[in-house]
Amino acid sequence: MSVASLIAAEQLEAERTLKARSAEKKLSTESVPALQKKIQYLSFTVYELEKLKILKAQYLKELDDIMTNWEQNKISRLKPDQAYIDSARDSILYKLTCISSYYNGMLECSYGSSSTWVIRNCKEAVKKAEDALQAFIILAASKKHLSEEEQQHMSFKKKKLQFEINQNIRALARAEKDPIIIKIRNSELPKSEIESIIALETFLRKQERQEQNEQFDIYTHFEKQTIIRKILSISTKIKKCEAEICQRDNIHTLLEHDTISDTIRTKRNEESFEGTVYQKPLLFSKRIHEIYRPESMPISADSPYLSFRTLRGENSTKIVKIWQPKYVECFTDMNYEIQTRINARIVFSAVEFPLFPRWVVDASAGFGDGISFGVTNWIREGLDINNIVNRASDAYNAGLLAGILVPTRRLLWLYEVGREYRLGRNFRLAPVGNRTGDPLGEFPHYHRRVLTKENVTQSVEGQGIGRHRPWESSKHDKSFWDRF
Amino acid sequence: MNKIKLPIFVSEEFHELYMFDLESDMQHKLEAIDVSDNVYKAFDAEGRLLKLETVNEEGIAEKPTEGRFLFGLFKNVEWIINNKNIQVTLAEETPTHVDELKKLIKKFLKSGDIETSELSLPQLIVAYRNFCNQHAE
Repeated sequence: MSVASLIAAEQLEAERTLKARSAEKKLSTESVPALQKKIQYLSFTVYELEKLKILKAQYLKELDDIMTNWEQNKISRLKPDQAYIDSARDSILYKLTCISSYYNGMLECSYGSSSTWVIRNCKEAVKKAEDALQAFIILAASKKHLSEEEQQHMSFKKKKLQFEINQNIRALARAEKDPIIIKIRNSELPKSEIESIIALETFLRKQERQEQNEQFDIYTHFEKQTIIRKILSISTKIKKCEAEICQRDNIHTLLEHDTISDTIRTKRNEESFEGTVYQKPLLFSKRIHEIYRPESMPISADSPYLSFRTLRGENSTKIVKIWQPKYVECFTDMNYEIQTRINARIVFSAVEFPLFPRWVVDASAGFGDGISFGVTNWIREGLDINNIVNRASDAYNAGLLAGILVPTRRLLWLYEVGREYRLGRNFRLAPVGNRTGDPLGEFPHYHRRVLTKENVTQSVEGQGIGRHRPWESSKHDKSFWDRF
Repeated sequence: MNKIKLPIFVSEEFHELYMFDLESDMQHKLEAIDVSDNVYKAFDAEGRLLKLETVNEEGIAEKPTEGRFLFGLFKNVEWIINNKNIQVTLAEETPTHVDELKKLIKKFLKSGDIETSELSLPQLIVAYRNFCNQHAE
């Protein structure tokens, strides 16, 4: 089934759900806008995907035109070799594949709170990819007209921009190495308060570093974003100059992918390793326990593959870092967003995910939420992985109901039989009371034997084990507190 | 065969004395697990020792249901269900525990500053009832 049809099916499903629920008047006022929003997103996705398809066809046609033109005019001086043409074609195809795959991923992510930023970033990524491709095609088309002087000028400009990029990359590397990431969970805080918190944290960190006599450039989370945006903007500017070299390098890297993967496997037990891996889906622990690259998914398949670097023995926010291969540089911003927004933990190839059928995932999550009275849901929210569960699905709700019934039934049974818990010889607790017929015993109570100081087996007068505390009084009580 | 003469006196480890006018009151008040653990000693109004035991619905002596909490994860924690009835029968035909009962009642009346040295068992019972009623008020 194609991606477009999948999206269309999702959209229809969402519309159908909205209509059905509205008809039954069961839909709360909160969920109506959410569903409408989802429909809107999905409509947008279909539109964007169609647009991409048209673009892809257009680019391919333009490339063919260029090649034909070159063949016809026989301009041997500037004619690119066959390898270059092949590599350029592959590169464009790869970028478009990645875009499609990310849309697939977006489908998976479109539930829950993450959809907004995923879509936003997809839009940006697509726009950048378009720019890059357009730039490349313009370059390819105009290359034959460049004079030597123009080429020199281009070369100089390239060097200048390259220098600027390198500077920023170095700064970013430093920031990556020792970043100051200040997380503020409560988004309802006033802006001024957030700023003051950031300022305070930064100041403390700066002080700490100065004490160590280390000259670090200090970047906050927001500064890092600024740097990356700057790099991206410069990258776009020099696309014309970079295109040729970049494409060749990328193809080269792509071909060497298998070797990199093997290297990872051999290095996986070392302290750190870097390369292209797949994360086993549904492993939401703080570490990647298992990495693998399915043989059934070659590089050229319609699946995005991400590059990870794991740093073992560090905090959860640093355990996994995602690095997009440089030949998909148009996704760098989005990639960075993934890294920061989900604390670099949930690294998944969206189209592979989930391994289990969706209804199994939803039902399991629902059952867990029910049995824990929502604690697991809260944990998923905390880990920012709740987007994988469709809480509007029937499977989830069925699981939730079953999950709620299990402990409820147990509690009712406990209430009915009035179970007591005995801790040692001198203490018993009846959390739901017991059913011996004594009215005081119906309430939650406890029994306690207060022992005399002289004899550890004898109780104080009126302070025996048979008393239903704290409800029952005794003739021997001297104060109210003797009830306890 | 003699019947139990009410009220019934139940002593909890000789540090608490309950008086029940009805057998059913005693069955409701006392918990089966305490009876099973021999915490109580009971007498009738004539000073005869009574036998307390826990029985199932068919009247056969049986202890309350007990078990290990969380499969024995915590060594000292057990769960108990007081799902057994308490049966009271005469342990002796002739009252041989009159003195013991009198001593017990006197002990508790003493805490209320009531003079008890010359009183017989029926008088002591009346005095104890008054003492309990005063306390209840």
